[in-house]
Amino acid sequence: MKRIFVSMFLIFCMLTVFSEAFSAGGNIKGEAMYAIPGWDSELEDSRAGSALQGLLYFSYEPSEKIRARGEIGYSYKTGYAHPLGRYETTGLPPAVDQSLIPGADYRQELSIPQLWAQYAFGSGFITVGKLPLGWGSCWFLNPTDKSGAAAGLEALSDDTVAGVPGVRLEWLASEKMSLDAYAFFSDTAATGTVALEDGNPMNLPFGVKGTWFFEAAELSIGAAKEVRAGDGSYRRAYYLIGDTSVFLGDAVLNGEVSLRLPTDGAGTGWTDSPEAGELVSAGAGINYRVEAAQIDVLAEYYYFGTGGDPGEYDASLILTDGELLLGKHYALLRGSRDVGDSLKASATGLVNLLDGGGLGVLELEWAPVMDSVFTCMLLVPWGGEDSEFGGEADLIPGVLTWQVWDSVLFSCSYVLHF
Amino acid sequence: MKRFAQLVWILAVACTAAWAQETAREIIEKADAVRTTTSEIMTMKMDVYDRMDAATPDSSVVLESTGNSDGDSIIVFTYPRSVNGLTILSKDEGQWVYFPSTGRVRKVSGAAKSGSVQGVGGDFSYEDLGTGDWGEDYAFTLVETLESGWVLEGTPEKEDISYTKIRIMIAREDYLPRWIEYYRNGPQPVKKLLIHETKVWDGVAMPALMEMQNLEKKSRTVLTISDAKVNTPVDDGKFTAARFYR
Repeated sequence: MKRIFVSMFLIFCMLTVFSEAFSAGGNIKGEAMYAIPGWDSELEDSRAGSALQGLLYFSYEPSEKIRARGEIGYSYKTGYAHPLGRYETTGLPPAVDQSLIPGADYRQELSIPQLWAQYAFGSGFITVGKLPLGWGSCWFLNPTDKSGAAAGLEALSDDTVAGVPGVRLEWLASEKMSLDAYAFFSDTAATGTVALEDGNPMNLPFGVKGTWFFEAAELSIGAAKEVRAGDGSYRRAYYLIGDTSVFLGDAVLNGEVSLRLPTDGAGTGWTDSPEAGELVSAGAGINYRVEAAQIDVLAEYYYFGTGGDPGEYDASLILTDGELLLGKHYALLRGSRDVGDSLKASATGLVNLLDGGGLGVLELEWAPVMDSVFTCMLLVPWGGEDSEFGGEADLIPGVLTWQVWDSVLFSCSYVLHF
Repeated sequence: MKRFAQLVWILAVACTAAWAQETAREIIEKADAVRTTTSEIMTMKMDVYDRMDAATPDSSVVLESTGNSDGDSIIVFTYPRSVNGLTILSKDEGQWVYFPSTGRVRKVSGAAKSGSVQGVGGDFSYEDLGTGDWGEDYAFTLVETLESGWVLEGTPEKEDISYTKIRIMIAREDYLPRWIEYYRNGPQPVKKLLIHETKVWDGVAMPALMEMQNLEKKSRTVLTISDAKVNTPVDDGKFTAARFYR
């Protein structure tokens, strides 16, 4: 595997040198973090970790008809910065028996987040490869994006996202209307395990939507199928989706909604009298620049019909489905402001509206020279005993609980873009 | 007969003077005409100096800009590396930003016209880089005739113009500006644009090296156009949200 990465790296270095159609770049990030037990945490000790991450990318545009992009990622994480280290406190047996392969180094990882090629034909585009989807108009979470791409606080920075292997077809019917369809070659759980049944067309996610463009608004309506593998079975769900963006003066209003069809878990039949509220997920928000204070403001609200009520959160969804949030109603407020020419300060608050708990994130970025950024970040969870961000959630109901947000986290990082 | 000859001579001189003395309106119309293009594709570098006397730039931006006759533009950044590939579509209704790392197109709130271009424009605002006709935006009077050109003073005729007055020096040789002073509620200019160099691309003379001095902040920004294609066919479909960025 490493040989493949090295070969890819050398090939695109050579092509970059010899072809003007190529451009390449990347970044290196070093980060140190320190976690101290939260106010109601049962932990006694502080924990620390470090992470070294690198990303190389290339893009290739030999003509207006052809475009390609590839990314190679590398990470070396220790202690609290590594998921295997962080999840030690769950009480569960380690997810990976690290002694199984002698000499294996679980601290470092090579990955290919994106690798895709696009061909333009007439007024259409076909993209093949490991590609990001990016459906939905909200900034933080997108209930209409069923690609399974990771979201979270990282999404606000618009760093790279991991793509999903598949094919995507876009067709511009006119300047006022476009069609967008995809089929992925992998279920969206991204478990990494291989099964013959993965190739069954029944287990391939897909989506299609039409977007209409108006003078100061966009409206999309479509449908999507989501497939998640696990325990030898496949959960399939079908959704009707819609999203919109509206320019309102200097502000942009966003909204998106996903309605799950009332099918059974296998997606092969209907269920009886489902709770309508459980079928809906939605998000809505506004981004606006307050010129007088020079502050960029983002405010968003989310509703997840399948989310748990206070005291009944299912933390296993974090480990099995990569879920970030476990409740129903959330509000997000973020403000950021440039301070002088090289400093940027931002504050983000995410509140579970039913239990009152939340997360607060303060970030200070300092870019003393171009493409060189130091960042300090403080993440503070809060909430009561039954809250998502302050209490414990069921990992195995009645057997094991897990305080997911048990620490106040402080981290410092340095990123060099090249 | 002698009187008649004198009268003819006086009339001839007067007519010649009247012909030579172009009105402010005629000058600005010609200046607008030479600036008018159907399309512009330009590669440019923007060096931002935080201090007026700084020798080296504090930050730099390299971008390719494609504009059409409606004032719509697509800007692709190539430097700094942190925003390499970032692309902005600007139309009347707002702005769309394409992030190459996520493949996502975000709609962002329209910046105030007087604001710096996407935070990377240094001392240039959207208004300063605007492609609108001066003759439509301002009412001009001729305040000085020089050997090399004319100095015109304009007061805004539209409400959304943030300046209260501008003074432009138009060169006689090519009807391009050589300097522009921007005023905002005061006797002294708040900004001054200097055109240090002009070049001819595709038969059209254009500023190639410009310096915007922010006289309030005591900073300056130098804009260098390294390459340009003018009046070449540009697919107008590129400037629609439906096609951006595909």
